[in-house]
Amino acid sequence: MAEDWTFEALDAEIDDIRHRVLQHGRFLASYFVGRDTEAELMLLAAATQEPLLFAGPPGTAKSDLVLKFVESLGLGGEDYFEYMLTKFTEPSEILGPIDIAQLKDGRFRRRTRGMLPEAKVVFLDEIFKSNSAILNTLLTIVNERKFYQDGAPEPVQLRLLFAATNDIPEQSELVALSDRFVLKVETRPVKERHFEALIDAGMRTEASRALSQRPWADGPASFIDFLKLKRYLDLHFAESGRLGDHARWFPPAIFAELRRIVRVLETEDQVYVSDRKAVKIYKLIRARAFLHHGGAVQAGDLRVLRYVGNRRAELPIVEEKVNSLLGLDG
Amino acid sequence: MKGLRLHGAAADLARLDALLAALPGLADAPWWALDDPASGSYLLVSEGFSSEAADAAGVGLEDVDPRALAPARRAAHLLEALRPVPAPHDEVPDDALFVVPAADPAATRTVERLLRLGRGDATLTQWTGPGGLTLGIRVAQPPLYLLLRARDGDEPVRAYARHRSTSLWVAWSFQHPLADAAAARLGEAGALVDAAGPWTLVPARGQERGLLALTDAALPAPIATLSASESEPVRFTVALRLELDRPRPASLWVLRPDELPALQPLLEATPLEGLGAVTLARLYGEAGVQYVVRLRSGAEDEGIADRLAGLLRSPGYVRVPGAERIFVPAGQRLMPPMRIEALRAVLQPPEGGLAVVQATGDGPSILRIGPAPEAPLRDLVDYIALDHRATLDALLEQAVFAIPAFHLDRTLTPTRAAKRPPPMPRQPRVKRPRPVAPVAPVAGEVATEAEQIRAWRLEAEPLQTRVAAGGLTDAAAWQRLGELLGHLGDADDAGLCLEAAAFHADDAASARAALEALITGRMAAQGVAAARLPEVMLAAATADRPGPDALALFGAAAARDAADGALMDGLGPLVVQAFAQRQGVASRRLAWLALRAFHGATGDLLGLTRAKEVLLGALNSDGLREAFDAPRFVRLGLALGGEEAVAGAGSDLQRAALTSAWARLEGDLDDLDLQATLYRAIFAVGFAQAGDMSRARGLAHDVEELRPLFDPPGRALLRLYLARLECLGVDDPGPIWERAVAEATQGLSSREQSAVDFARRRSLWLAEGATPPRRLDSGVEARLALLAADADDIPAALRAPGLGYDYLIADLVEGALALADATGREALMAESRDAALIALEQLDIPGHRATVIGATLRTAALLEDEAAVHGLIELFMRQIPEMESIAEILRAVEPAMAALRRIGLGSEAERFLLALRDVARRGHREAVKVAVFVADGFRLLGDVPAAERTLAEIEQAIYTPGLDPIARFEGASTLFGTLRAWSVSAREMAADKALESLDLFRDNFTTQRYFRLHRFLLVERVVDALSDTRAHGGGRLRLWLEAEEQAVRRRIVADWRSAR
Ligand SMILES: Nc1ncnc2c1ncn2[C@@H]1O[C@H](COP(=O)(O)OP(=O)(O)O)[C@@H](O)[C@H]1O
Ligand SMILES: [Mg+2]
Repeated sequence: MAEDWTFEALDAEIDDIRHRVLQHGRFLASYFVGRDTEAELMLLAAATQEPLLFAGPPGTAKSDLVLKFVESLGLGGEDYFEYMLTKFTEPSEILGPIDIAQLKDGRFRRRTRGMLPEAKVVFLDEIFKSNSAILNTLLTIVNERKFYQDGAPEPVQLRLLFAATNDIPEQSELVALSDRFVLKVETRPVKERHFEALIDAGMRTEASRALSQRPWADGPASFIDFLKLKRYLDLHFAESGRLGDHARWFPPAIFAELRRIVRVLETEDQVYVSDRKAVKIYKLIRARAFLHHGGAVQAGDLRVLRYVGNRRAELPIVEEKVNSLLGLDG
Repeated sequence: MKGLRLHGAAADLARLDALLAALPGLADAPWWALDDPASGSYLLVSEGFSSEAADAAGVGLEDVDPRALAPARRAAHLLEALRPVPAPHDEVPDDALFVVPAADPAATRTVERLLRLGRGDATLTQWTGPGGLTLGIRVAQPPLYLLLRARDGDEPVRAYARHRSTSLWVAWSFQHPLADAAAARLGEAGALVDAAGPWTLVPARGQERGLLALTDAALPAPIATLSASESEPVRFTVALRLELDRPRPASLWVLRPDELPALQPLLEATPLEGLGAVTLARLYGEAGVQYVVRLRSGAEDEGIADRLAGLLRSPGYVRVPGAERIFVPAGQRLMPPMRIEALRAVLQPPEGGLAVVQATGDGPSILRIGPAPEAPLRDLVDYIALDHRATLDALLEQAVFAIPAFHLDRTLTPTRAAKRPPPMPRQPRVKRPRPVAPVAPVAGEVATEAEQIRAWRLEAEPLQTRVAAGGLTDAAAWQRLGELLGHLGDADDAGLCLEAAAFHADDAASARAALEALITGRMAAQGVAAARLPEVMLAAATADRPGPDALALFGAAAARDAADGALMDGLGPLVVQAFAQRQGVASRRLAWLALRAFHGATGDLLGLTRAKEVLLGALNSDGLREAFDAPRFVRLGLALGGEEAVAGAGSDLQRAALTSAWARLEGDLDDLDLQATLYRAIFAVGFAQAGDMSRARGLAHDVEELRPLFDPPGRALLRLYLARLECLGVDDPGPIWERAVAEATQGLSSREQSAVDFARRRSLWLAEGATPPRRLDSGVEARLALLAADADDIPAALRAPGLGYDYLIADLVEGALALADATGREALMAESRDAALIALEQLDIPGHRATVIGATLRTAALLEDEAAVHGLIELFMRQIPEMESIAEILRAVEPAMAALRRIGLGSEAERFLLALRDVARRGHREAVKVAVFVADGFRLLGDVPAAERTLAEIEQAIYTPGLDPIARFEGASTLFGTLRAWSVSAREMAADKALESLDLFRDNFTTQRYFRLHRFLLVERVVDALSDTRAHGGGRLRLWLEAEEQAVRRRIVADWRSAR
């Protein structure tokens, strides 16, 4: 599938796509209890192809969210690669085994079929349990969408990367990887508040899986919709980029608000926002605005800022802080 | 017209100075200021200007064409004509004033924002003027958001920051170039200075009113400003909204009749007692019949709430904290926070009834519930069990139960724990001076005993000075000093000196003489008669844990006997056991004396080699030990140092220093202020640390009294400081501390809790338990345990560490090299060092590479391998530019530096310091930290002038206005961390400067709504440095031990070589 649609071609159908995608979020969320935010962030991550990190204790539907999302897009089989990392995970386990036949000819290549390099959607569970060898490979894959075969870079198929973790470590080598996840969302247990609903939803899922039924497959939007959306956003950003994107799409008052909130997070709560991250945040806000209103950013779109915390303990604090700052304008 | 062009730069002031010097009358004359927007500068014009005047002042004036410039602004005097300049950083001021026209909607919005940010402590003043009614909203340590908003936003709100404690308020993020002078000129009046220059004069003291007292709540209502009049204060009406909150268990549900049967499973499955907590009431209203299910207060936590929420498929409602009869949806709260009376006024719960704020599709609605008879669910159970829905419904319809109105759960006023005076610190055990040993007077020369003693003292003093210089190897000097101290009755020190004399002796005869004197002295001191010596030796040799005195006598006697070939049968192995296998409480010199004599006498070269390794290993790991290897006169003399030794007691000086620091601070304190109370608590701990318990108790008492006045986070911190005081004299403070932490943080909201944690993590005294201690990975720990059991495996383990993460490898290398060093086996150490360099190749992360290089450097230094040391330093210096965090550099450098000094490679250490100094000068945020490290490094190398120069540079940097607040605090805090080891007078001077500049220490953290974090943490550090008795002189003693260690090490190696 060549993802080289033209702006004109996409322009005609983009509104339909947007609506399907938004509907898709509601569709996905309906299979969970209290996971609307997560579902919305997944849409945003998928539309921008930015990685998304779920941080939360076991059993809070992190895996299930990703799996249902993938299945709801009609993906499966070799398009999707999921792996739980441990510190003993070998590169072969995710990149594919060494091709022995080729090794005899002195070529160091991996057989990547069904492995991460050929998957379009990847879910890495316990991502921070990975060791240095995996870490470096992952960084290259996330940053450059490449991996090395016999010393030469080759593109990977990766479009969407989701990851889950219970904890976000602060070891310096892991911070590099953690930084790539601009958005981090805390999945909190809902049992306390929605016990019955949770049980019902859980039972439905269990029963469906046992009977090999997947009512959530076949959601309103398809994977192609997301690819097109991404392509459209790229073209759209490229076009307005020349004029100074924010002058056109970001009303000055809201832009000032963005700047203020980032400043306050940095100074009052010591949330580190690198330059790279600032640009990514901007892009995500723009993308959310486009998805929801098809145009200029509105104050509500700044809600994306709730999820820009870095450290584990910071996530709820940033969420609450951004909420209260955003509430200041009513 | 002539004008003076100003650019808002420092040079302006010099020109103004020159001008005023020539024309002094001008300062008070009226001036005009004309903006020149094209150039960003502005022109000042005064009638007193003329070309001649300008020439006289040597200040260039230029011709002004007023038509080309913006309209002139008239200023009453020069200070008013000057335009503020941008401040280097956006700092949150201590005091800010938001000024806004009262009639503008922005006024209400600002008030609302303050309330939403939890700043109901703001106060309001109103002024009338040509523009109508104007409000001044004053906020201490305001939220940064509001400042930014006022500066950059589009509302007619302006923010001013107060200059020091004057009545001059300058547009926030600007500074008046001559602020002090301008403030002084104002006198009683107040002035608001805009960024563009104009002043607005305001009365200095208007009537200030609390914000909360002026605010009414409305729900749901559009924002509206109530009418204002001159006499009546302006009031605000703020729209309440429901907002997400952290979930709390609900205690009330409102049901439609068709929802009622959902309760059935609860009735069936819950024990009767449980049901007693649930009541039901039936109500009629516009919407027909509704049922209210309530949970007795206190029962929320028993799981029934969750169960009900699940069954009823509704999260239910929670009580608004503090308001017994007002409920909001669970998981939500009303914002902004309001006084309860204001809420009652707007929600109007009926007498004896409830008001429930419900979230509906189109915003909140209020449900008022009159007093209704409630039935405990328990009373319904029997019937329900028989029948089903219909029965239940019918029953409920009929049921009318007389039940007292709502059960109010009055919170009992907590009985304050009986106040108990903090325990006395344990008094250090004071050794009673031993009686002066009777001595035969030296014939004729000295007449009286007193004169004799003075003569010995006089003779001992210069010898003590030589010893205190460190590394003395002159056996004769040690011997004489030992004899003199023996005469003077100081048996312990005499013993140590005589051990050193025997240790360093060049020939058998003088060694023998030293041992003889040593044994005689020890026997006398311990009251051992000659005949009992063998018995006493045997007892010491076979004791499980012989005490220091017994061991000292045993070692000396064994050394002598072995040298004479007269060691008791069977005692040999016990000598090895006592001095080699166990690293006991004997001095290292004595251990070597005994082992050298024993192995030498038996000609057991292997045994001697083993003994050498054991001792060198012990030196490598722990060095010489203050308690066993340093005479007391050295310990005291060095600890007190120069002037303090004269004054006699260091701790008196410390107490004096603390007292004067407290006096300096106390003068400016407001009695009832949290910040002041925190300082009190901190000084209480300080006085207690320095031994002044009565002051400590007095201050602690005040703190206890004031504590209830403050916000929960402030109360928690005060409680914790007081707990530190309690912990001081206690052997195992762990449980006390844990209990204090649990009590102090109980009942804090998550926001308050995070403020307290934020402060604790940065505090010196309160951090315990707030940050988990760094623990080795269990895998690494297990491997190190294996390597400790079999050190021969170390090189192999380092060559192939087989660990995934860089940090694991670094930890392994660090630990394994320390184990290798502890063996004292040079070949093994060298091999391990080389293997560590192989492990280094596997690491990519600069910080971890630094750790490994530092550890390797230490081993190389201990091997006295200068070439390797040199190479590693080069390697390290190449690494520096890549390192992300300076903290990483310092952590890695510290052990290496110590090793370099101990081994006497001072010049390499200095090279290292110079390289670091360059880092410090790179102007990095952590530069001050590195500079402090460098200063301390110079001091330890004995280069006091270089140390003091660096220190002066550091203070200069720390107290320069405009420094980033975090850099300032971290720099000062590292400084005081290091200073604790310096002389009391150095500490006192630095403390003075810090306390004087306390106002400079600010922070922008969220916690500022509760306390000024950096300020009290700085006070904590200053007090800790002033009152620290552990590191008291510790630095100088460390140097002495290092110098001494070199001498001991060399001698051991030399003895071993000559034996071969
Ligand atoms: N909020 C929720 N809504 C619906 N189902 C949930 C929710 N939380 C957990 N579950 C269910 O619990 C089970 C465990 O979830 P899982 O995705 O394996 O958790 P995790 O990956 O976070 O450990 C799944 O069946 C999931 O559907
Ligand atoms: Mg999982």
